[in-house]
Amino acid sequence: MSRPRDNDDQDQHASRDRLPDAAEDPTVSGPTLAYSANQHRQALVGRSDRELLWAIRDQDDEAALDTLIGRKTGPLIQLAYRVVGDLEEARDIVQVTFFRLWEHRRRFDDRWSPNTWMYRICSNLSIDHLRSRRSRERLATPVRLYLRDIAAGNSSTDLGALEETEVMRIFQELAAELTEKQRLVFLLREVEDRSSKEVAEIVGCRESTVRNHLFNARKVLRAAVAQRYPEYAPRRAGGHR
Amino acid sequence: MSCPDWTLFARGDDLPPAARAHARRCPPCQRQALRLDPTLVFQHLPQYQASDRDIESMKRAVAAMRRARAIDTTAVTHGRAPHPAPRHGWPAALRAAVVATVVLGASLGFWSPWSRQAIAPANVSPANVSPANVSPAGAARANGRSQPAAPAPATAIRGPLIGNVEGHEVIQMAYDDLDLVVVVDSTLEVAGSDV
Repeated sequence: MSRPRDNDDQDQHASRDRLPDAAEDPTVSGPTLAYSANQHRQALVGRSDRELLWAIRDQDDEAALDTLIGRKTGPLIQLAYRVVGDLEEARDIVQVTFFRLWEHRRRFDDRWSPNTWMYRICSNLSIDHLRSRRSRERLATPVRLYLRDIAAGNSSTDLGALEETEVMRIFQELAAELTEKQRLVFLLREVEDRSSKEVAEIVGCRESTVRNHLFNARKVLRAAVAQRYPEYAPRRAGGHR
Repeated sequence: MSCPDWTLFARGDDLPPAARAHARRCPPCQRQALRLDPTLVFQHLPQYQASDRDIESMKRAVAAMRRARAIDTTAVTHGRAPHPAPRHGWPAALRAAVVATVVLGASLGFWSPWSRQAIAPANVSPANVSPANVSPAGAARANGRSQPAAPAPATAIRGPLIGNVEGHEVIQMAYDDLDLVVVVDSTLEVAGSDV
């Protein structure tokens, strides 16, 4: 599964040259103002995430924030959606993520990966949201019933034959067994295929802890599959499970 | 990496990372791998593709939040230093309670800390009571004229106007940073106006 391209690689070698600021541009006066603003926005398109964050942090560049929103809305909504399981809530979380990014723009440290910083804000908000929601409600309708209805006319026990939306529903049901950290680590490492190092930076723990969370998450999920979906449970050679 | 012999992993508790990575990218191997570890199916959760509409909506929403914050932090203070927000809201409630107590005590005749000045019923009724028509300070503020800074009085409350209007008592008080109009009706319910 491919994931959205990160600009971190080129960020590492990006120059610290400041972006041309519309306010500093001598051509910005009178009728040329709108044109220069558009020119400024177009110039931002080719910039790396890190350069955009520099422009946001050092120049309060709102156009750079808009460019970053255009670039990161999809990946961040995807992460938040997978954590909280509701698209509208995920959109709200990402909205607050960008707002927080702007509010705390001065705190961005050059040593950090821009992607990691944004993912960290978003994942922390997602987990906070999940905790507050869990305290209010529980999953009311067992997804299993829904899936049983679907499977009524289908005797296949092949997980690969499930539709993506069904897989998502199963995941949301089973992931309720995971702790917030386990869920986040599993999503970032196993689903989004991010490196252990990057996951450790996002979650804020050591790589060994990431591996530990991942191992436990898989174990819990396997047990949950065996218990709730025995038809999909692993079939070991010689009948061993 | 060539396709692994999946039967070798049949009795393993957890697939090796290399085998998992291979299964992610090799569709023929995915089925065999899934039979060993069903959690691999979650590698293929649906991907979310943000539309242009999503992005524009997000930009507008974030811009609105930033504007709201900017307005919040640069609120009009009429030349005074902004007041720090009450942490739990109780100072404002306490102030209101104290004022209400004083007003009620005064209106019932138990305690009269200020000189009373009756307002003619023809001029003031509960419907048209406002700082603008019950005190010169309020009128000046309502007309948009700046209020010259007066020396602070010994008490925080200046020149209350109190009157009985058709069974209601109207009380207006001017603090340094607050104009308060209280209407006390016959059931002793208090209505206040914080300007």
